[in-house]
Amino acid sequence: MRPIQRTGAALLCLVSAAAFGSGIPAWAASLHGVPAATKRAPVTVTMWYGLGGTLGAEFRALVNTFNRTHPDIHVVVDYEGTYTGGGPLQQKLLAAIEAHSTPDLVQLEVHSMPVFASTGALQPLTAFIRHSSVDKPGNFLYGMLASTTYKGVTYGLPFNRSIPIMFYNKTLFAKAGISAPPTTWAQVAQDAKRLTHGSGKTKIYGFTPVDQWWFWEVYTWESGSHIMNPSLTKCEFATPAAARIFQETINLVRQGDAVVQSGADGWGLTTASFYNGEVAMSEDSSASIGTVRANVGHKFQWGVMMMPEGPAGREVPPGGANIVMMAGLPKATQQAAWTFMQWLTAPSQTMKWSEETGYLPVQKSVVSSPAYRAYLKTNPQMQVVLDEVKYQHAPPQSPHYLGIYGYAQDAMSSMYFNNVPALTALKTAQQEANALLTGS
Amino acid sequence: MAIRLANLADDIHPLEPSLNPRRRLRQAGEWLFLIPGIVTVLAFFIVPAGYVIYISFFQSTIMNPTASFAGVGNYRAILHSAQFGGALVHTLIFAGGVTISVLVLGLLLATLLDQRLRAVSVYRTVIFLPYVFPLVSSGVAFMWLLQPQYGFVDTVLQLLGLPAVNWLGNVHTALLCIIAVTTWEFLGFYTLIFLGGLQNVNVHLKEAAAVDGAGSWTVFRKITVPSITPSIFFAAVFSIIQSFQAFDQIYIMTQGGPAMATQTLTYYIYTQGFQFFNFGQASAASVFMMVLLGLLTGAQFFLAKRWVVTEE
Repeated sequence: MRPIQRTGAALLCLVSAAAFGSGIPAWAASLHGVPAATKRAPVTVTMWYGLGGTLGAEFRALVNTFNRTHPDIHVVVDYEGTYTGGGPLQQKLLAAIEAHSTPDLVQLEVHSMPVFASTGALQPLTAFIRHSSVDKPGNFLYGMLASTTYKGVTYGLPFNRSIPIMFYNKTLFAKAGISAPPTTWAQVAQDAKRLTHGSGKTKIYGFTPVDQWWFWEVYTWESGSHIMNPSLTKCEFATPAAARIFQETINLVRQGDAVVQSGADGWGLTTASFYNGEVAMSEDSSASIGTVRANVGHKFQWGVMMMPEGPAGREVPPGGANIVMMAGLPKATQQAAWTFMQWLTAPSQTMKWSEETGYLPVQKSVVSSPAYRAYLKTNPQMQVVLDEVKYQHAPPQSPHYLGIYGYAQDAMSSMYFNNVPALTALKTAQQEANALLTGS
Repeated sequence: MAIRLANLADDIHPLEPSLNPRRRLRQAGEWLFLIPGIVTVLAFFIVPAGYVIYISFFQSTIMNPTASFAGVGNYRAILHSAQFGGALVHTLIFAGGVTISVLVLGLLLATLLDQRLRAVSVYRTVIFLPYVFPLVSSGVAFMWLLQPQYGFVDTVLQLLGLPAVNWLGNVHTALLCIIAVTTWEFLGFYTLIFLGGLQNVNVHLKEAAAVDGAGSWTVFRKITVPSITPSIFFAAVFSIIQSFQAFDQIYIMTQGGPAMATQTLTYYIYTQGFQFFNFGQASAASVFMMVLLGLLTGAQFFLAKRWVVTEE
């Protein structure tokens, strides 16, 4: 602890002691590493999270349950803006790390794990996991541990995890005489043409891709290309094979058989266009299942299909976030934080979280439990997601990855909205990303 | 003469021991009053700006902006970057669009408000009101007005049988919308500046011109506009600097998209620094922007000598 912090902590304790007359408040003890004066005072654990709206409410309800059932620990959660890579939560976290004033736990987006793990600001969890009966690596669903490690050390536990999937409108498929959803990109193109009909305001498009870098990962890997070289010193994603998959989609858009939603809320508009029955197939996240279910109602029959296969098969990135512990916490806070992490990822909580939000149940035992089997019977779409988890592919563990996918995002947008040929756009992005890696 | 010589001596040797003690005390007092200002400017402007120039020569990692010396590597990278080039073009279009709009519309509104209209104070309040709103809330309001599915603008268009436009999602309209919203926000401020200028125009000059047979348009062109050139000059310099700093409305409404169509230099710096955590390149872009703004303002001051009419 730096002298100024030590002085600050001492002052805080003095003021608190004077004010309350019964020792140091638990939150001060937790924040500044001073042992609580009374044994009965609960250990406070602070956590930053980035889920807004109903998801945030569900999360806070879980935390309230924990606090009710664990009188020795008090978890205080703070919403810090969206948890996306490079988003408000991460910007604040960076400032907090610099100021040596971090929360104890953080909800960290999966692709950002190497960015923050490389700083040394995250607590290695390997020792905790070794002694845990709940969070043993073998207990998690296949692929859930993708992006929880950095250089072989575990730094996070999977929490709100999702994968890319596609929604399809069964009613429109039946009308077009198509009996099963497509399994390859070539079939997507064929089916999109058959499914597109009407014109003007009543036109129904066969397919809607999402202008989002997450799907760039899918296209790159499924084309047999790599995002970076094995030593992570260079980007290699601008290949003719990857450009071909993009170009097929762009051609569908140009021919009027597909439509891409644009703008800051382009993804939200994509999901809305599916549940409004305006498109027959759309790229999306498994985390949108709940939204689609609530909004489709009985308007039409719908289903979830796995991301189609490319020339190199099926490859999907992980999505959502892990929970990480910040380094340098006092022992008592560490133990309390770990207790909360275990509780949150334990089967009963992850099952409840999955059923209520549409995120994946991260534990294997949940999937085989009778309660969850019953849930799957009424929500068969989730079964497809569970079948797809085994195709998860860990993204490159580069500390510069946020910038790399940022450039890829710009390349995708230029292809869709500025008519830049796919390979040209990818090459420009690759050049910018390599400049980021080499500093020139 | 003796007094003037003594003053001269003070100016040349202000710290000479022979100085009048009372005068020295007064000078110390002056410095004392200047200290808060100097410290603030040093701490929050000069030192950070100097540090930005320093880290612009380094390749950064997330926690270490000066991880390895890169020479002019960051400058080379931005000058070869299509994104940076695009951001520069968008900034110039944005600054030009906003400045021309606020100058022309501001002058027009100020001229109207300068007339003896009934309830003129109501009009003045209505025109100035948008300036009072935080840009973030204006941005959110316009984002919803321009939303393609439920937005007011597209709903009206569709009622009129016209096609809906995804205003903020279209590469051809997004920057125009940001220019329009920015103009709406700041128009009242510039109108007020022009109104101040108009109210200081010498009435006798106008009357004399009218007596000599000048029509109202000639009076406006030959008397009014030259008289308020200092206000126009101030508004032009201020609007260009303000446009280069524009961030809130872009962050709220488009986040630089679609396809980087609304990415300006400030937004580029934000993206590089705080989304990609690439502080070296963000700093190089900041230095570039500072130099560019300095040159632009310098050029404006230089050209002002030719068209700004001063009292002397």
